[in-house]
Amino acid sequence: MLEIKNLVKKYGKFTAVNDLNLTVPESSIFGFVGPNGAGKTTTMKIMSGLLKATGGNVIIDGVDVTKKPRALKERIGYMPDFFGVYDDLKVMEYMDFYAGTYYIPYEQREALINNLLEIVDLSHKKEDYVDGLSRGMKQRLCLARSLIHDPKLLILDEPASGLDPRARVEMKEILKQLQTMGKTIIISSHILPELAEMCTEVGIIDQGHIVVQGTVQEIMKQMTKVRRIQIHPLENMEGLLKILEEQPTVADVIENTLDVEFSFQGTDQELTALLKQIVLADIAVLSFKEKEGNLEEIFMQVTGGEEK
Amino acid sequence: MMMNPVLRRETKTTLRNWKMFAILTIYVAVVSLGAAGFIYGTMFNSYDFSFDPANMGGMYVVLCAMQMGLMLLSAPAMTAGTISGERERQTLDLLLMTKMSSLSIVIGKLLSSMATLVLIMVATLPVFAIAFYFGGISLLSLLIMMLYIMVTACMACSLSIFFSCIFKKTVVSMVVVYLLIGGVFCSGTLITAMLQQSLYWTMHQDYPSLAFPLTILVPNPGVGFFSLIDSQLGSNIISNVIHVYKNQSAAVNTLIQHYWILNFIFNIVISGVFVFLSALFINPVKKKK
Repeated sequence: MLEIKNLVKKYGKFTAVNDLNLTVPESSIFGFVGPNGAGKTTTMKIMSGLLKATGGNVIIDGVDVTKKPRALKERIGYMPDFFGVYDDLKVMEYMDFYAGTYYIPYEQREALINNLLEIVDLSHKKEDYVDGLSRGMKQRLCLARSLIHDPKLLILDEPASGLDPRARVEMKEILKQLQTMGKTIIISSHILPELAEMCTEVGIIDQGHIVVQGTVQEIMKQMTKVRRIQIHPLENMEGLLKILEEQPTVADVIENTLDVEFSFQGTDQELTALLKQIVLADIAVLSFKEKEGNLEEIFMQVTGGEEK
Repeated sequence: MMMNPVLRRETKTTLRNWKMFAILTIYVAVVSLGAAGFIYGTMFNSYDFSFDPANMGGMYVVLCAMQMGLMLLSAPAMTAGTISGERERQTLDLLLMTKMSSLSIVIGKLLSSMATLVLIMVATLPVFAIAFYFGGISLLSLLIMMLYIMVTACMACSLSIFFSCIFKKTVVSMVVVYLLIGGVFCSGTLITAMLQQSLYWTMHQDYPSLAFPLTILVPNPGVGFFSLIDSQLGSNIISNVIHVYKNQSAAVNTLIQHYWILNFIFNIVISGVFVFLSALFINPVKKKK
């Protein structure tokens, strides 16, 4: 659906996007994560045809953004991080205006708008002035607006920013619903855990280029250099600790009330051999698992841990 | 055929706003006061405090001049915030993302401003009807005058939209348009033309050629306006301004009589050029940043 090749955007001497490469498959929710100033919004604006790239190509559904901007407009729905609304319009009129800007025939508009307002759960507000809507409702209205021309690709720049937890959950549910409708969604955030649970794939951007890309699990595996293992013995904690102390691949052993945690720097074969040794030592093991890395820690590790 | 969506939205929201009706009321009141003031003034100067219908030409000039001045003041005030306002409201990117071309957006903005100005002008027509009551002015003359004023207002609107694309602040674009029209087009060209004539007379003790003033005064809406008044009422305001002291060729005389047409064409060309430039400037892929 989306392919970005060697994308560069420079503002004078400052390079906002530096040789960025990215591929997003169809019908996926792609999380575009990075700290503030990493180049997310710039990249998204280039994808949307709102900014001219200094170099590189952005190909959306087989169309080069820079060469056929008109064809691109039909394929993309864009929701910026900061956006305004026409306060003097009612919700229905607001949607009707944008339907007009996509030259949707008058007779098709009412049914289309009603359908979209239903998706974003704003049907009950259609006769209200946009000015009177809450921040979350305005975000949902803007999302409905970006869907008015039935685009294949949705580019959402920090759609959850400024929303309360309930509104965030509602937004996530709407996005999952849109994915089931076959939309490809690119969603940006500077908070990795916020995207982790709903995105099929994540790309972490820092200083204008993609540092790592893949599923959250893949990224965690890739970025976690030392594996943390957790063993919960039913009894004989002393025996378990003694075995662990003898292992050259084991370090940083922490004894908790019910279990033991340690860092393991060996291969998968060595790990299974360790489990076998523990079981043969007649220690009853209730659970033996690798601890999942902390998403925040991984994000900090990948992005250098500071805002640019 | 589908109506331009920007024009449709703007006319809807403009007419919904009470400010529009306040502006209309104030505008018509000012023009009406001008007419009443003129009638009172001529009656005051007469022996028997009566109104002589022969002065109707003067009233026509006063009303048209007020209309022209108010339009030139109103047009930038209404239009200078069209693009910068969208930018300030953070709706410009959303608009540029749609299937509407930059040119359609700019034309929609221009037409909505012009529609408001036409409405205001139509609202003042009953005041102009007073001039018809006493006779002396043909309907065609009035229509030509209205058309001329609208084209001049269109020039002011297109300049305002252009500067609205360039400057982020609405106030800045408005001030620049007022300076350009008032300072350069009106005062600047007139002062330059008069200076050239005076200097030439001082240095050569002879009448200068009219080529320079006739060229430099083409953008001047004031000269264009009074030239149209001259052609409609048979007066000689422009001849006095550009000092036509000696007999000119028939071609120059014809040119002076229809000088307003040059200004009319200039306004149309400038409007077109600046609408086109505005479309280029708001086109995101043409921007540097």
